[in-house]
Amino acid sequence: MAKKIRNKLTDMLELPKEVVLGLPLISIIGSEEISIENYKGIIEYTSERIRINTSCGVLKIEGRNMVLKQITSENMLITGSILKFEYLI
Amino acid sequence: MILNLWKYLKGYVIIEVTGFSVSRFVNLAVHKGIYIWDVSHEKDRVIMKVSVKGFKLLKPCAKKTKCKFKIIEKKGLPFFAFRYRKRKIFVAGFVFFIAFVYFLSSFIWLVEVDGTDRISQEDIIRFSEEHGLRVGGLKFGINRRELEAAMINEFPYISFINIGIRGTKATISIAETIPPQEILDRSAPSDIIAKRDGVIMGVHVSTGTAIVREFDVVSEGDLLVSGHLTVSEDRDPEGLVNTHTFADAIVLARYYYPINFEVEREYIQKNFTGNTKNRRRFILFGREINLFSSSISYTNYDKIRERTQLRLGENYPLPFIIVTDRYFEFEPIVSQKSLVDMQEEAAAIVTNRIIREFDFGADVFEKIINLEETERGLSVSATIITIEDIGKNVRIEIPEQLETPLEDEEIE
Repeated sequence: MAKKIRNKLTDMLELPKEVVLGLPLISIIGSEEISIENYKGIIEYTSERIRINTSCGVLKIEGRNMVLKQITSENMLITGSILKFEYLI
Repeated sequence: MILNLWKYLKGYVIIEVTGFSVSRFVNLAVHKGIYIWDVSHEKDRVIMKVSVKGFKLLKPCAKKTKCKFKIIEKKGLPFFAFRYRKRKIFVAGFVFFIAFVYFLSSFIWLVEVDGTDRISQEDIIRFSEEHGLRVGGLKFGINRRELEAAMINEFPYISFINIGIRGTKATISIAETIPPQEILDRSAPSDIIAKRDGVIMGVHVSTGTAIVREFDVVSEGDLLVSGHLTVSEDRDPEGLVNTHTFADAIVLARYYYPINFEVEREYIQKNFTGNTKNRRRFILFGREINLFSSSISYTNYDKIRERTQLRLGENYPLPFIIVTDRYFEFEPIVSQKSLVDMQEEAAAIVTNRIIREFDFGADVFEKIINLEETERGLSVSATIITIEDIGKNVRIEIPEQLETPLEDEEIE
């Protein structure tokens, strides 16, 4: 219930959702670079498959020769060739 | 790029992590604020880069997640400096090199002059050398504004000057102008005398009393227009007032310039044999170094000199100049000019001399050119008749008692 109200409120006030609701902001450049802000943690990491925990479920990225180019506590940058991208809720 | 440079300066470690749950290890490390990047997976190990600061905090993370990590490589300036800490001469050499480059770049190795037309560049360079701006001199001790002012005083043709020093090159940019006219003191009484001989063609007086008339023959120093005035007073027709004024007049006179010269029929034609020789010399810090000294065996040759100054980019000429002398051998063949060629040459010489030697204000009235073919060539005797102003103002010293005040001086 509280979540619903907060959702409506941010819609009304046009606030950025990733800030207010703590949702991840994901941007993909072509199929070679993907940056995830506001993630919670890494669950699995290999060069073919990466699973990342976020506030709206587990994000699974599949690809080839993927490298974690940069990791800080808020931001993650993955490079490589990305093939698949899905949420496991 | 900047980030990479920063990482290099701070130093970083490449480590390999093995164990059951590497992702937990990374999670924990990131959570602690350790900066990790370039995480890549290789078979059963994970390779990543960690900053030196972060590396020291890594041990508890590994213990907690039961992972093992191993240093593969240490990179960056701190490790590099540590490795070469005992090579003192190397460091000293490096520091010396930097200091030497700085030392060399604090000299001027080239002085360029820009925008000159009538003023010779050599004069400008010589003058600036006398005032401290010279090749091989320090660039710090030069007061440019002062030197610019001194140059404007020295050369009347300069209307604008800027001295710019960039790197090891000094550029003197000049804008030329016509020389300022001599200022005549019009308040003092003066006469006009002839500055050269001639026949008067016209006298136009603004102030003063004309002494000469048209077709008078005058010689140098003769009085042409006097500053002495005799004025009759209106109120008293009998009374005459003597006064002096600044004589202002244009005195046009015909003047004869004789030009005599000879054009020789014989001339030496250069028949190049095609043999050439190059000689190179080096000039290092103003000192000449002759490495390949070979004498020139040609009896007759043309020499072309080329100077190449080594430079680092546009603004850093170096004190190293390569001088190449090219010698072209020729056989002298005595040839004869045709009459038409000699006549053309004579006409060209006459025109040239008129342009170079005559006053700007002189109008060429007539050219009489006599050509006479002689054994040796062509004998030219030309007379150039010009009409020009031959007047020159000279101050008059007046005895005190003659001076009477006069309000209106514009009376002729």
